[in-house]
Amino acid sequence: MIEINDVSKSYKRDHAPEVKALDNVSLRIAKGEFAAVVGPSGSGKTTLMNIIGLLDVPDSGSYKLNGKETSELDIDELAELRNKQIGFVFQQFHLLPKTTAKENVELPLVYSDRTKITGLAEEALAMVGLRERMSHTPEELSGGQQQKVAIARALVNNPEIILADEPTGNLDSKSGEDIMEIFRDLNSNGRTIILITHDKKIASYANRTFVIVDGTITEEKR
Amino acid sequence: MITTRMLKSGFKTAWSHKLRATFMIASVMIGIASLTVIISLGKGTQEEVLSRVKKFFSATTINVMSGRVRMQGTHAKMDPTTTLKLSDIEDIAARIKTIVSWDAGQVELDKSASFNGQNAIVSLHGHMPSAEAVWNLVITEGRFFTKAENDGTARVAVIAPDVRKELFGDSGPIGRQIGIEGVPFQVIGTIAPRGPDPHGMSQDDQIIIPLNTMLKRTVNLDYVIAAKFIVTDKHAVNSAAEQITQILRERHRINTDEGDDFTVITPQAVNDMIRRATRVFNLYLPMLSVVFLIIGALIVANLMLLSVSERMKEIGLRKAVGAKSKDIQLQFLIEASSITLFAGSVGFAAGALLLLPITKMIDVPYTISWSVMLFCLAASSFIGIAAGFIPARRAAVLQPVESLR
Repeated sequence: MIEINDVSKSYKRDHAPEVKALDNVSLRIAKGEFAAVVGPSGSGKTTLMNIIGLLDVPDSGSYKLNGKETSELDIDELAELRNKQIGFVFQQFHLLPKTTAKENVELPLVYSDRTKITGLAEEALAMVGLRERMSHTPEELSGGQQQKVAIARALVNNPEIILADEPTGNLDSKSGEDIMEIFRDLNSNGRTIILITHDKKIASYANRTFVIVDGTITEEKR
Repeated sequence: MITTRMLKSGFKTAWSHKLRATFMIASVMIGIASLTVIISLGKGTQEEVLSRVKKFFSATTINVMSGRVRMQGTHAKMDPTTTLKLSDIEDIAARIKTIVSWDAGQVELDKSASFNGQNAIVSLHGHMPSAEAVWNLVITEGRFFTKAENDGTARVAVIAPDVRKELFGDSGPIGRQIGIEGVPFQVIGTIAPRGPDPHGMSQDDQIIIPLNTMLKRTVNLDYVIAAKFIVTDKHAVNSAAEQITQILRERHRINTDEGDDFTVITPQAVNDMIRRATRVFNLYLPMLSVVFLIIGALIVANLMLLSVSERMKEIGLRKAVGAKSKDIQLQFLIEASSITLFAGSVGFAAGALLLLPITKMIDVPYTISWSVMLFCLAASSFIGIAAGFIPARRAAVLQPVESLR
């Protein structure tokens, strides 16, 4: 499903030498896998996640998603692909303030070309056990609940891939475990999960672990 | 489908930042409210003047005044000469075939009239017998004077309502003898109220007597102050006016390098004069409020820009979940224009309310038209789109990775 071949990405900052965030990285993740990418901060894992998530494009190399080459797509085509195929879960939750859980979950549907969208947000919230909180705003929810709303948002458009970047980074360990259980359930229902983390313990929920150090990646054998 | 979802979402976020929305609304509202007040006042004043004047200058009339008439603000300044004779007017009427009827007149202001110990200050008007038809006078009692009475310099008078009231109270005036500057006249008719003339002066303090009687017996003059011609139809007005000018210049022996010693006033000329005189209301003041509107637009643009940098994360998130550049651009445009459109509606309503006491105070009819409302709404949504454009562009080109950080 995800085929990344020899992808490199460098960043050039003002008054600083060029930083090579990814150096000839290759990676394959099949449908239905639960994969973790582990690495310390500055290792290039966020860059990798941005590329997998089609939020950024590589300088060189190829990325095929479901057999389709993505490096040639323009930003609007990438947006459409993200909308349909990828659900994001971020460390900072990124919920819209003063906006109810239901409306937050509906956000990807605003940009979707689906014709029938009623009930989808409620369904997604039910999957994370927050159906009865759907009219609460983020300010009225705990951190764990906010992250569940974010997961519901990632699920609402029924994407094949869930991409989670340090999803437990801002949570206490109990809430973190809750969140990871949800990911495990989603995976056992056939969804592809890609987890990006620096935390080996969190990574242990995954079936496969990739380690990224200084822009190069290796798979950790178990 | 997608657009309606985006509209809903756009409205929501626009209103979730209440303080910012309030400032934007206030800045546009003030401009629109002032525009509403100014345009409506301008229109009201113009219509008021035009309607007053229309009674005098209907589409088929040509007025000739002696001397040059100059406009000072909304008022005509007259500078009468002694050169406009009744014979001039008679000659014109005889020579121009399209003239169907005419009147000539002389006026003396502040004359005293008396009856049975009652006194009144009146304006004394000498007219031709045709004046009844030419000026659309409505006789309420008695009759207007005849050609024979004019030719024979009869001392007969037709009185306006205020004169009647002051001299006779509730008793009947017809057939009574009144004194005008000590000369006895017989009242033969009364006329209905006519309201103010184009200069805003009352016409209801008039006593109308035959022109011949006035010139020969009362004021001892041989010239008239003005004449009015009615032509067959409005297409005949311009050529008749040209001929009148030619005939008068000829008869007054005016050299080609000299100006007229009379003024020919056509309905078109009157309209033009009024439009020129009310230009300050209808052009310069609206321009001033357009300046307000531009300031309002700059404030909106500024706050929208601020909003873009404040909401980087939101924009990044929206892009991450599938918003295209044009979706983001549209969202900011919808936000800006929904706020300004709302502000425009409120501003229009505020202006319309504010007009009530203002029109009462300066005594102008309250007019508020659909065209003003449509203009205000169009202007305010245009402001939203114009002011939202740059912020929307800036938001649209943000990279999701940059803005999510």
